[in-house]
Amino acid sequence: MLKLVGRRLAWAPLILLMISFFVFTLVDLAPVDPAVAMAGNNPDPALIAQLRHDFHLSDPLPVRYVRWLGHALHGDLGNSYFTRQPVGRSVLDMLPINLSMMLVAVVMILVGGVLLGVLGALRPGKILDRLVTAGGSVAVAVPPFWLGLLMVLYLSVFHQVFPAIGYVKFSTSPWEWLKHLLMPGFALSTLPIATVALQLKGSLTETLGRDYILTARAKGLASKTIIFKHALRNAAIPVLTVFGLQVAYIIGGSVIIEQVFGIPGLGSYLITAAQAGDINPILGVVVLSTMVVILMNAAVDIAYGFLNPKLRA
Amino acid sequence: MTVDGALLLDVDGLTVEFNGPNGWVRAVEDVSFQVHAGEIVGLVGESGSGKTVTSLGVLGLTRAQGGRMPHGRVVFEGTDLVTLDDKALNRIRGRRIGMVFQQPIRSLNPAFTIGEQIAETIRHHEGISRSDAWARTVTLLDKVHIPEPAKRARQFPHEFSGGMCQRAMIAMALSCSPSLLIADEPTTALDVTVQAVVLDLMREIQAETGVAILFISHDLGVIADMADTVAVMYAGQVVERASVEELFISPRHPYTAGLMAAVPRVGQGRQLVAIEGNVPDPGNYPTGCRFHNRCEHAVAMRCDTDLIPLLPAGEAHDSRCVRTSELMLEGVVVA
Amino acid sequence: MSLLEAKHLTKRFAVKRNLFGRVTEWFTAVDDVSFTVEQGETLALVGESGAGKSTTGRMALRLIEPDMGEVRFEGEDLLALDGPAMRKRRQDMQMIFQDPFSSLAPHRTIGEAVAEPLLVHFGMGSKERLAIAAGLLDRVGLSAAVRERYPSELSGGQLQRVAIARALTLEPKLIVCDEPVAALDVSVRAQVLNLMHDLQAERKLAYLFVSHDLALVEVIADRVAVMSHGRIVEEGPSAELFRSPKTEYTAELLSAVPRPVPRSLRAPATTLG
Repeated sequence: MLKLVGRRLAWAPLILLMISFFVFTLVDLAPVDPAVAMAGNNPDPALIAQLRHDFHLSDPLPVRYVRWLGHALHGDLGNSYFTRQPVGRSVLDMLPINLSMMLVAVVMILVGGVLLGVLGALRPGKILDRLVTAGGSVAVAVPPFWLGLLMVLYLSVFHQVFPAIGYVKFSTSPWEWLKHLLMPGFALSTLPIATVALQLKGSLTETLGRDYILTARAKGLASKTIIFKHALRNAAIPVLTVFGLQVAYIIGGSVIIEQVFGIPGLGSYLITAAQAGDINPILGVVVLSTMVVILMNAAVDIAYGFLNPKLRA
Repeated sequence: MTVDGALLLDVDGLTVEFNGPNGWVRAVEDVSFQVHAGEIVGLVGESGSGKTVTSLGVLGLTRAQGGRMPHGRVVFEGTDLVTLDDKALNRIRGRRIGMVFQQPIRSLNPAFTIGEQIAETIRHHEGISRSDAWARTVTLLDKVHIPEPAKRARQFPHEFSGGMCQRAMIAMALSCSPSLLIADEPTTALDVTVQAVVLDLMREIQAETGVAILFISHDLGVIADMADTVAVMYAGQVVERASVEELFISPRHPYTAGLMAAVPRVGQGRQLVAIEGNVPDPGNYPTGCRFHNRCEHAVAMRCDTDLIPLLPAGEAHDSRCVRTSELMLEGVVVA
Repeated sequence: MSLLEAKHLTKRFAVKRNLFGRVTEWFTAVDDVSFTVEQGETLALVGESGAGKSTTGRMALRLIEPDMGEVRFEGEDLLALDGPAMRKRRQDMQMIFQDPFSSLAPHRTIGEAVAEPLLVHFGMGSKERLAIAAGLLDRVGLSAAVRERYPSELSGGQLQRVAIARALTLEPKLIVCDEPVAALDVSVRAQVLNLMHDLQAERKLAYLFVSHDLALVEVIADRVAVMSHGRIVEEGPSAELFRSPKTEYTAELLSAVPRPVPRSLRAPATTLG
């Protein structure tokens, strides 16, 4: 089990290397010249040439990549061409914002997905089952940004329930922190909740028909114990894979959701950088998100071992 | 053994129905039999005869599968279980009545250790401490002859063989010292040598604890081996009831006799005695005697019209056949 | 010359592999097994689960490729045959399984299913094919109405009859039967076994009958080979083997078979051996 996780993590450096190189090439192919962008509105060709020289922009791609890599391996992710701020520091400053958003969304997925999945599985074919199926199919089709805008409109503009935009640090006020994150968290997690709920409903329905559930009933256990202890633990195994994919989806989706709710997170930082061809921040964000995804997958692997004793050996 | 115990379980006219695409289907109809304290009662029948449904119905476990029981009583230790709700039944399930199923490996939860699953039952019903429940679990595993019980208790079902899983299931079913054990085809999924060992174990435990057993099987050999009295089921009904000796020496229902004849026997030559036709599905039972269209003794107008009740066919012997007194049926020849 | 002659059949399966996919642990399912089946006779392979009897049955038809050993059918080395030659040879050897439902395509009628081998092997026309299928279905005791039905509409006993009819279309000389009646009810089981026996007499069929049920084998087999842990531990004529088993394992197996005689009425156990 730990061997499996270890083996997976051993691949992490190679994955990071490939992804960073891929992104590096992609940004280079983009029709945005950072030197031109830096030079301002009335660019002086001499200034552009000077900037190109200063930032080694004329070097061949592999040379530039290896240079970036060399610095990165020493923990230096370079500076932004525009703000001149070190990328490493900026990214670490913003990371808590995104982790907060992720945390809220993941809690929503777990609570909402499990609750709806269980409700849908209790009586197959009955009204609750159909409602979950129908609701899930709709929720899967709803674009998160549109849902976000609707929520802003109804819950912030028409009725002042939640703040429309911005972010408050947890250390400043936990309550405000949560209030600012509920809407973006919900917009992000709607699709994952539906996906997880539908998967879990199917898996749980099947599990409840297993022989060991009959054994549990014959032992005189209460339905609650049977569902939440005996069935859920087994039904969760196939859902874990889906859950892991949803977490990756949240990381991607948060880029747009940050825009909708004016949250100054990594997504906004990434978009600003991408528009200007500012390569270092882009790579910083990509490398960081990749690491988060790799760690999440490792967590999912460990969870597999926890749920399925056969994998523990 | 002789039956002198008090009446423990009295199943009387039990009927179980399931909701199908074409309305309620009667899987079990008017099933009556009794189990006395310390007795082993065999319930024998082919697939679709309703024996499993009957065993689940006793504990109200058919409800979770969408079944209902419109008629009949299941009086256990003085209480009619049919009238109880799930909450009240849960105080009897696993505590006063233990259950063992056909597929031992699949009947244990793969996510928990064997010990956890047994201890859970004890703690649930008796509320004793974790360490006390664990100590008793290990003792129980020892009683069902699982070697190194303390170590094995910490293993998962997939680390157990089928026979070992069934021993663990038996330990679990007996963990709260019930007065009745329901065993539904407990050895059908096991190899023949393992079956012999598990049957020996069940007999040993029965003698030691005095627990009564409702033993369900399709295998006449196993029933002959285990039961004191037998109820034969066909197409959702009990068609014959008798002591095991009575039944095997002189069966009084043509179906019972046919079943016995169909068992391969040495010296009979290659041609086996078959019962023609197929076992009918619930919802498609023939009118009159449900066996009449496969029965070589059936007589028109007598066997195919009216519903036939269980008729007395001797001392403590009943048969659901109108021709019982006229027929001379052959049992298993006793050497 | 025997119809089927298997010599030193061995099959191993990989249990564990190391990082590079090299097998570090083997499980030997069948270990140096030899036997013969004569024309028109029934050889039963009996044993408990995991004894290797099913694998042996499949190797005899080359449905599983043996790791070692030899299979001769009418003297011809089956393992030396190439694809087309083997396919042609398959006409002479058929198989029926414990679960006939899973070996029949769900969307094809029974008539078509039984006729199919004739198309595959001879490219026979539809009308001719279905006529032969109808004759066979009739022979196995299924009414004409069954031809138009689908597998899901039939009972287990009926499906096993269909499987038998299908196995007969190419007029084989050998049928390997893997637990053919294990899933059937007692009352139906005898019907199917009687049918198999009649067909054997009629067509000089040979059966390699794989079963865990000793009581059954005792009655239907000419010769019996008892398998345990991948090896044949004892082999002999059915009556003799059951009367006086030569190995302890066979004796133990026999004594474990529940006989339909109540405990209190049993004669004191006779000594075996």
